[in-house]
Amino acid sequence: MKVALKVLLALIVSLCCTEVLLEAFFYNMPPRVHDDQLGMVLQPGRYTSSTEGYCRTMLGPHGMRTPKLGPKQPNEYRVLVLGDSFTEGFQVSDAALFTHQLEVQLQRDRPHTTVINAGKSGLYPGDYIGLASFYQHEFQPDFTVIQLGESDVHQDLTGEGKLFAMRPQGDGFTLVKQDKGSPAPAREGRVKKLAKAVLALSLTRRVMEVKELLNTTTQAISPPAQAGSADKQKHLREQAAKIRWLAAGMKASYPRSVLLYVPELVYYDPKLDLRDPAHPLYQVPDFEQNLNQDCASLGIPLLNMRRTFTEYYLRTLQPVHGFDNTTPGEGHTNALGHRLIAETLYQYLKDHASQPTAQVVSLKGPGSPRPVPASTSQGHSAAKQDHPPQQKDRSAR
Amino acid sequence: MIFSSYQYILFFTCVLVVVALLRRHTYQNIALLLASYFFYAWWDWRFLIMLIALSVVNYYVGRRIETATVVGLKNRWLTTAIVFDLGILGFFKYYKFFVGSADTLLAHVGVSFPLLNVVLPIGISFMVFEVMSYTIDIYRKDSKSADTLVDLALLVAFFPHLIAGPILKPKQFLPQFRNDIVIRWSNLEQGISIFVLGLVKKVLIANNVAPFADRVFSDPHAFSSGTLWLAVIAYAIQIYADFSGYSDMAIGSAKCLGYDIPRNFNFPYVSRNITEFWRRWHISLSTWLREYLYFSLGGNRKGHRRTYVNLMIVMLLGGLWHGANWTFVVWGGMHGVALAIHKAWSARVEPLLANTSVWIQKSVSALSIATTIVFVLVTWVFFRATATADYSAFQISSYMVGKMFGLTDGGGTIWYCAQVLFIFPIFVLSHYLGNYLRDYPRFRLTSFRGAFTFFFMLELLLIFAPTKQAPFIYFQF
Repeated sequence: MKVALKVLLALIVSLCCTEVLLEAFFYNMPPRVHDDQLGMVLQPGRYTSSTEGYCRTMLGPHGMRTPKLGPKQPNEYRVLVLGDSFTEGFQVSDAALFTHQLEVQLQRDRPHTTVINAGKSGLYPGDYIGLASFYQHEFQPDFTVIQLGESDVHQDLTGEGKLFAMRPQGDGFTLVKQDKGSPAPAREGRVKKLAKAVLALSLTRRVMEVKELLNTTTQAISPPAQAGSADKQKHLREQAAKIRWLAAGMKASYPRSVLLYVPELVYYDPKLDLRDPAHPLYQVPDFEQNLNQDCASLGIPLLNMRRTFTEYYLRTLQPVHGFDNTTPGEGHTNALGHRLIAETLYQYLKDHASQPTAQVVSLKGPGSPRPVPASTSQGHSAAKQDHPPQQKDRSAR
Repeated sequence: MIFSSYQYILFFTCVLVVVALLRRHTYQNIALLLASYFFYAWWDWRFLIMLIALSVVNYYVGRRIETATVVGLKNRWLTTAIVFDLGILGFFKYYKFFVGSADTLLAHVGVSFPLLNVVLPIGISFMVFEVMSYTIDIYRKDSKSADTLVDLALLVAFFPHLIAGPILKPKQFLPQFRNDIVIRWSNLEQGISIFVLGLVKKVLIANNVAPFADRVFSDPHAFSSGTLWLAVIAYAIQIYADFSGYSDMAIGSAKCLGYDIPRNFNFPYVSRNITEFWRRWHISLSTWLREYLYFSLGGNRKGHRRTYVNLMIVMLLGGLWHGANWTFVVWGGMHGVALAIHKAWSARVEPLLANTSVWIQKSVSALSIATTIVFVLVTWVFFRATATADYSAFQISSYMVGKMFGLTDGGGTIWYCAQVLFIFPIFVLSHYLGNYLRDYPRFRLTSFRGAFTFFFMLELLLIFAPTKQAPFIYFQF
């Protein structure tokens, strides 16, 4: 009996120690709470994540990485940044986050500038359109940046599993709000707290959450549809129609805005050298080309980070995606990527944000730099200079 | 089934229960043998016949050697056994290698050999060396033959060590089969402690550094020289943790059953010279090579030059034992050269150092440790490198070593893998601490401290074990 009690006590103490170690250094997952507008969100409070990159941050209202804002001041300039996990940026510290860096840079020119990070993992353009009135009322932004990623223009755009689903209607689509979790009753909250006190349950939940997160971050995005087969052509046309509709919807919902496209680059190929033009680093997927063309034809400002990212990599051989605790070149943008995004946005906002209405503005070149000339390189040397892209450039200059 | 799987825990529990119920060693040995065959069949049932054939042939040859009175007859029986054993090893492991190499050499004269796609039976290298040591020990009169065929078959097939050693010495292990197995709490406690330690090494350490090492070795051109150094260190940690972890799990499993398997690793990275390294690394293999190959060639009894030649032969063959690839031969050759150099150093320079000041001796000692570690790391590059579409494994190895020492452009992606940077100091500390303690840490599971350590390690395993398991490195040998 004595031995059994000793063993039981050892188990409880070891669980406590593991819990403390996890919470202090590695990982803590706040519970999810229901938000009337955004569905289930992380509960405001401290959040630590170390599965991809590392960050310790404080979550504000609506589970965002933005503290509670007071009423908007008369001379305050607010920039709202919408986006998914790339904007949320749980892989980098608060200081490295592009929204923070952008705020710091803008405040040099205009002291009362606030950049609001409203990124939430899993959001997509349909959600930004559906939540437009909420965001406008809640934050009263003077300018909006809408970050898009590959998943926003490539994967299934029906919005299933999202806050707003796209349904065909006539020649276009309509957005239908979906129920994303119901409010947790107060009693369940207390029961949940009690369950947390039973450390074995908490530890088990963490293990399951960490494993699920690891599985999610290591899942590869499915390859883009290859041109050539009839089904795939049809899929591409449908995707293109959805992207056009969404792009137009975002333009209408956020008149003073810019779309920021953050691509995922393929840095390594075991068979191809960086000098080879066929290297995947230089290939622009069809869906991205469609996005570039649609935005140009609709007069929607689009900042495509592909050229900037690629040039930076060719110059320094440091990928702007991936982390030391995952794999460089894979996953979300790292601190380097966030810095480049902040610099790009700062330049754009400096030049365009004060204009009263949105204009057709020049697009950042949609193509990629040319491969490194053979004579200048040995192995993976950097490109000397940005060359005109090989694809047709539809930007209005 | 691998040791770090739920299936193995279930399998082992069943074996423990059955063995505990049977009581008499005759029946226990049969049960263990059947369990071992089941364990092997789980990997690949097709080679059970090979496993049984090795046991049967060597058992009967051993008997013939023991009963033969004429030396010539003994020699013939020993030769029969060795030819049979090496024939099996040579066919399954080296046919493709030698035929492929011969094909390459003779292609320009129009000679071609049939290239069969021979499947490598898992654990074959370990099994063959074990049965060879059995017959050779009988021939040398170092040990007697096994009491029964079941005993020898069990020695060869004993599941904890079947797939990747340690190579057991028949004279040390066979006598243990004569005793009834009694499942004792003290053995279980010690066995579980050693097993969990092995599990931590394999799952927490080896599996966490493996993806980094694999990624960098697959494309060394893309990474900076600093990253290559870190990847080589990571691989050195990985191969040690992987192999010694496996050995620990084998030793722990055997201990639970009441059998003592000797240690296979003794903190090799604290070695002061390459000779000491081979006394601490894969001890069962180095002992086998010394006793059955080096001594048979004459050892160090035929003069300095012959000693160096013998060392080279032993290490070249030792390298080839690891795999049918010229990079392993190069790896073995490099170690052979280093051993020969150290032999010469010990004979000519060390006596001179004995008369110098303590400060100089300590400096030389520190330099020796550093040199040994750097040398071992460099040779691991050749051991690990694999061919790509455009480059051979040797070219990749040479490129990597050149880049690491600044002989080529050191540019590339900088990747200071967080897992390696975290594990490395812990590894160094535990390595030196382990060397200081000289034995496995023991924790009594019925005490608070022991139970706490046990549960804490299990929780760390649960949380930090990668979702994707890296295969055991030595399974490929």
